[in-house]
Amino acid sequence: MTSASGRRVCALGAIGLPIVAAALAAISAAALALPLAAQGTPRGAPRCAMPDTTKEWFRQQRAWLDDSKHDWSNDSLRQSLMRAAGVDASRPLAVQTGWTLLDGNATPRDSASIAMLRGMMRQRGSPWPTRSVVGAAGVRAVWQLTVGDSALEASVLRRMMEAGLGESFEADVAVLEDRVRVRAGRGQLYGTVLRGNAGALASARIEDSAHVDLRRDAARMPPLAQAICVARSVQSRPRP
Amino acid sequence: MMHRTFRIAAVAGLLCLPVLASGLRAQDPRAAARSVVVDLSKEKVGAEPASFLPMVGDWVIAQDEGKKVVMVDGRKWKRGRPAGGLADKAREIYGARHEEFIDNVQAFAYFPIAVAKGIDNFENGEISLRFKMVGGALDRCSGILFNVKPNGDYLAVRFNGTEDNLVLWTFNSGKRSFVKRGSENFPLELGTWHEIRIAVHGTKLTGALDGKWILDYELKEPVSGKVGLWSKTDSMSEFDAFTVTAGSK
Repeated sequence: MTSASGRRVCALGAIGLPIVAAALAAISAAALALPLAAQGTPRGAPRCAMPDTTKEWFRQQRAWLDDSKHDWSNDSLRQSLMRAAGVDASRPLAVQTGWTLLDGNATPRDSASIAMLRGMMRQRGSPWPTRSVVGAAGVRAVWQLTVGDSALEASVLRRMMEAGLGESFEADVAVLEDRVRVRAGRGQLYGTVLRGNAGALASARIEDSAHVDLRRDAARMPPLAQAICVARSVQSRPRP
Repeated sequence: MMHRTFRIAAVAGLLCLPVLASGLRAQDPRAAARSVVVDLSKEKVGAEPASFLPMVGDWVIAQDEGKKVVMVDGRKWKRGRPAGGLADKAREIYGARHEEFIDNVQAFAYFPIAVAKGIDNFENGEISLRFKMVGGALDRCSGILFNVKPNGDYLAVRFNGTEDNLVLWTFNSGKRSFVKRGSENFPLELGTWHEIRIAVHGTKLTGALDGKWILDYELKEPVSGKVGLWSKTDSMSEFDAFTVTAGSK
């Protein structure tokens, strides 16, 4: 979606996915470069500092999401996944600031791609679309196809964790794990699942909340308070 | 069972006490049922532990509710790299044979390990530790490292908080192999303390989580080697009360 001030927020609605599934906090680099106040905070929305893009988490996310080396092995699979998820290769991949809204009634976007992912998961030995196979955009596409499909989320999370460092995008994995845990009635680990209405959004129960920002830092995400403030602000914006 | 407990001061000089150098050799009758608890009280918060030799990964002394603990911090650790000064550390524990150890450890650089100082050889008895999972996006592992050979081969019994299970793994010649999984899964909460314990009697290995014996395996050969702490990739875990009790065969 694009606000009146021209700020583009890559929430699910902006990338061709149902808004009802979740409002992801994957905010474009361009948007992060501007403070919210400068972009016109809507009435009633909280004023908060945007996540600091000079921090390590941001630099490391951008590095991981950079596909400029073209070092993936299966381009046709990559293109197929990106098409299905609506990932635009001409734009930088959105940074994950780590908040999401749970909605159990999301509809899968592309049944053929979902079926393909399910098929890959059934075959333990089959190549999973990791970074070295489909690049960062392909991995992000898998994640976008998965988020909102409660049946798929747990299985894809397992494969992403098994793929290991360098092959999976930790921030996206963290968001996925929180969603799976909250759906299962467990406490979340990163505080990314928010509940409530716009200005009153708050994290669902967090396990070991004392270390939540340490875990977010480890997963290359900004502190929780910043993410919640951004989420409240984004959710307070009038929808077109 | 009565155990005599020796506190290991975190001072290299004291770690050379003869009783510790030989105390865990089961063939020494004096070693029967003798426990060594690694004492962290004199360690420096924020520094590498002095009572363990970190070979792979970032290991530091942290403060947890006023108590000093060993923490493996997977936040900075990316794409397997050994801990700083690996060559010196390997030389410290294996002398002239350290080069083969280095080669193998580098092959296993996906798995942070820290070798306990002053425990030259564990063959029979029990090893236990307390652990607290703090974080890790892809792994949340805490484990006991044992049977560490001069060539870098070793065994590990670990709990994985992303799988909720206790598993025995072998690491031989640069290859990790699954051996056996505990009979039950336990979804443990982060930020809470738990205990892993293993018992070795000849070739019989058993493993317990929080006092429940759920792992049972017959090893191909008796255990003999150094011991320590084990973790995996981006895990953040705290360790405390590392205890080695030598027993008779």
